[in-house]
Amino acid sequence: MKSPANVLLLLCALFSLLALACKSGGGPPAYSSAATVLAEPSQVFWGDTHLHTSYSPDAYFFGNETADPDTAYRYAKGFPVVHPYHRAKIQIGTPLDFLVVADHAEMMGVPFRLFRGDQTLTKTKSGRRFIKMMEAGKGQEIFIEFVGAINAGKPYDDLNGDEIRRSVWSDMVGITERHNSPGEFTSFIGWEWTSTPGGKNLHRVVFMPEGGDVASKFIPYSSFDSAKPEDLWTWLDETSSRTGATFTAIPHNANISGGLMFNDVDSEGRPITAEYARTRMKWEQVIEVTQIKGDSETDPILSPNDEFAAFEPFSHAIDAETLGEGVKASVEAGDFARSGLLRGLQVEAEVGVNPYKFGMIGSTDSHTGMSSAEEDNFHGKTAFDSTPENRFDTFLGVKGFGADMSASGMAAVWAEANERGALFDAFRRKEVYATTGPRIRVRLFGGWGFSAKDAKKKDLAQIGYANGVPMGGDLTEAPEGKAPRFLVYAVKDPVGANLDRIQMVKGWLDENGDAQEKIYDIAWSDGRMIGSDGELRPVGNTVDVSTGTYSNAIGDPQLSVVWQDPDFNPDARAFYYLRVLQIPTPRHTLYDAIALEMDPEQTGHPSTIQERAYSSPIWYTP
Amino acid sequence: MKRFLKEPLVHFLGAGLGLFVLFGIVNRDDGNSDPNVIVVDRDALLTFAQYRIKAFNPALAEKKLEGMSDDELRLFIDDFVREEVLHREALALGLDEDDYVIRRRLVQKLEFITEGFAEASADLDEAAVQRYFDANKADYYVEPYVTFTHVFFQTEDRPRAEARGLAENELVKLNREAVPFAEAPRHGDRFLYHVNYVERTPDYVGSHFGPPMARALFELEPNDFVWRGPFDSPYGVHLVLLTTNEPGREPELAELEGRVREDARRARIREETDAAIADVVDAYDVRIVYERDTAANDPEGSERR
Repeated sequence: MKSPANVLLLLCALFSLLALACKSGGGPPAYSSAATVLAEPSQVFWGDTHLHTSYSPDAYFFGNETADPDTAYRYAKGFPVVHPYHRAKIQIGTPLDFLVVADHAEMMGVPFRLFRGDQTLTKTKSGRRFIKMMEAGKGQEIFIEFVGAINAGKPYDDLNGDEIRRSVWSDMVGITERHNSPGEFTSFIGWEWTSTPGGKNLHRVVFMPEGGDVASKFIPYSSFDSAKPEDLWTWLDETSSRTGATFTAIPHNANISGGLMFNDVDSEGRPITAEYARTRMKWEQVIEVTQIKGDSETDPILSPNDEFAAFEPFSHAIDAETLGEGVKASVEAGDFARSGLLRGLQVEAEVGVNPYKFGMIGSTDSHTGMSSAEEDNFHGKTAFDSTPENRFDTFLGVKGFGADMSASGMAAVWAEANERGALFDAFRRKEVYATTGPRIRVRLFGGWGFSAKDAKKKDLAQIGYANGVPMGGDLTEAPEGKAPRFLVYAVKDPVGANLDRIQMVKGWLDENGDAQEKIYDIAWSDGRMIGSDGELRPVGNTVDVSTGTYSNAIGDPQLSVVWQDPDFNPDARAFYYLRVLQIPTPRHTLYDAIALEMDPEQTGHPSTIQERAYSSPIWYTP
Repeated sequence: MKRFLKEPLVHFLGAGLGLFVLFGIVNRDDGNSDPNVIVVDRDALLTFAQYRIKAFNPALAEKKLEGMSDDELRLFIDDFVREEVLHREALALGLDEDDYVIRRRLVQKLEFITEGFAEASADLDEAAVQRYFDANKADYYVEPYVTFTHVFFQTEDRPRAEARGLAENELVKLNREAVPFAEAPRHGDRFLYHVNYVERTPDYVGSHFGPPMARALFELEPNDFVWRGPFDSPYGVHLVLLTTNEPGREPELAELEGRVREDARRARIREETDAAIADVVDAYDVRIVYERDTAANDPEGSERR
């Protein structure tokens, strides 16, 4: 009760209970900060669902011996922390709203504890052997052996007992619980299921909205238990019934899955059934489309007419047996999100259920304990590749070089509040989206009745929710003679670069059941005209490669439009998602090249990139 | 320039067989100050035992040594001898001299062991937490913040002078009608970020409105009823109802006890680690014989160059 206005408000509330009229006429207007209305029905929250710390064995052997889950949360919240490799003080540019520390379930915390002298580990036969190897300076050999064993699904039994697994997990759960403060910062309990059959990446991050009381009733399911996604879903189902935990599983790095991530057959090679599709959709509503190990939206081979397709490609197959020169990953329909969404439509046409009706987020998959997706403040994929020299010189085995990595991956979530339940529900309804780092705010609503002027309205979001469905939603039952309309609004990162354009990516099945895709430029900056060839000319490039700076002299801070599909066929299954492009800005390797006084051309990587956001799709089903 | 993350030692260990032959020769030798002689005495074993249990605790090491069976002791001595020989051979090959990786690795490892040791003993009472807080108050400074709402006139489709004119007229209207905080969204154009800013810091406000306007807002006296402006941002012109303007302050310990306790614990671990390392350094007789060529480092001298 610090102001008369507050008292008045309270009195108003009391009087209205007594059904007495309570108006402010005459007196001062009632106001309290508690009564401030939210201008929009939902807010966007920013986070990372995929961060590794020193508890992950590979992170540990790649030089992260000290950035544990606690350090990871402190960094995400904006505190300065010590980098695990070069030991300098570092700090995130803009703190996160939420974080999932998702360390590998396989041997979680084992090297970290072993080399700190945990007696349950140092007394084991394998433990003694690894300590000897470490003392002999054979860290890299331990890594190869250890990760090889994990990828082969053959754990060291004496290091993988329930006692140690339970102890590490309870540690993890405790730290996560400690960092959760509803309304301010949300931490989720989670882990990564690291299935890599034949070197093909089928990894999933699993997390849950419940707290430690529920999480302590199980030990995370690992790829030692099974490398088949179907078995993971069965475990999730059983554990959910037994403990009351609700889970979501988020696949990542489809780009190095050897065609398996969005395959047209199951793990046994049988065609996908309605049952498979339903089960998958029950647990995997969202995928991670962009992260440090590259972008999985699409590839120029799959989308030859997409001039922006070749963004941050990453093609090192992660197969421990081919350590050395990474084998180039394949490019198949099962490897990328866009082709996966298309395949989903095809499977749905055959069996009646779409197994790949997923929303999209980005996240880092950083192994440094630092959720860093900022090009000018990127702290490496692993601890080793965190310095300019190591970025170009240090071969990270199967992972290539630090310079090959993309400083990428943010998860944006539209929710009413920053707390576990509200954020998790948004994942479930796919009202989430991806960016490659910058905090570009993106609204997308689909419906039948939006009018052009809605795009300029102040209450755009209310109009969107009232007259349409948000991203992640469905349209069906097209009114006679109508085509779907999309209400679209994108705003630049407050501390970032202006926007170049908004594109609508449409995928559909033609009369023959063949998958088709088309990209429409639907809003763009600087009042540019579409050329006679139908192409929008490039926005330009203000990056000075000698200083690593750019200017917002080009591009627009915000773009909005109502767009109607000009090629709509009410009988064809389709999906629509947005791709929002920034103006060109420096890639993280340009800052390194400048720091090393090296010619940027020699880095073998582009000096500038157009960072982007991908919305979750809206589907149309006849 | 590809350099696999390798441990150079690994390659030399490939010559293990040769070293085992040497081992045999060493064992047959006899003598005192000979580099080929390894004396396995109680002190050597106690030191070795402390490395093995990763704790600098002679009493514990003694207990371990005495608790060994004959077989265990024989294996333990074999281990010691083997390690000692390999170590000397590595030194003889000069592996320690020009390999900074090994050097850093050794240093880091020892720091690490020390840190783990310190961690076990870092339990803090209330007084210690309070002392830490008092000494580090600056770290817990709460930034100034403001709460305000605003009515916006964009300059994307109109000249700034026109937007200012609109804003000045609207300002009179807002104040005449005593438009409250909650009704701000009903007026003006859509702003690309938010309508209401609740307890926001200078950096945050600056990132949305530009630093000059943020500075102007943080200079306003709070007032629940009076709209003020116009203010210029890069995006247009704003009228503002600013109801809170809290200066920066140093909070009480009670407000953030958990965070301070954790920070104090970490600081204690760091201190104990440093102290333990300082003890080790003290055990050495450090003789600094390096003398700088003072002329070369004389700033005035270098300016004269």
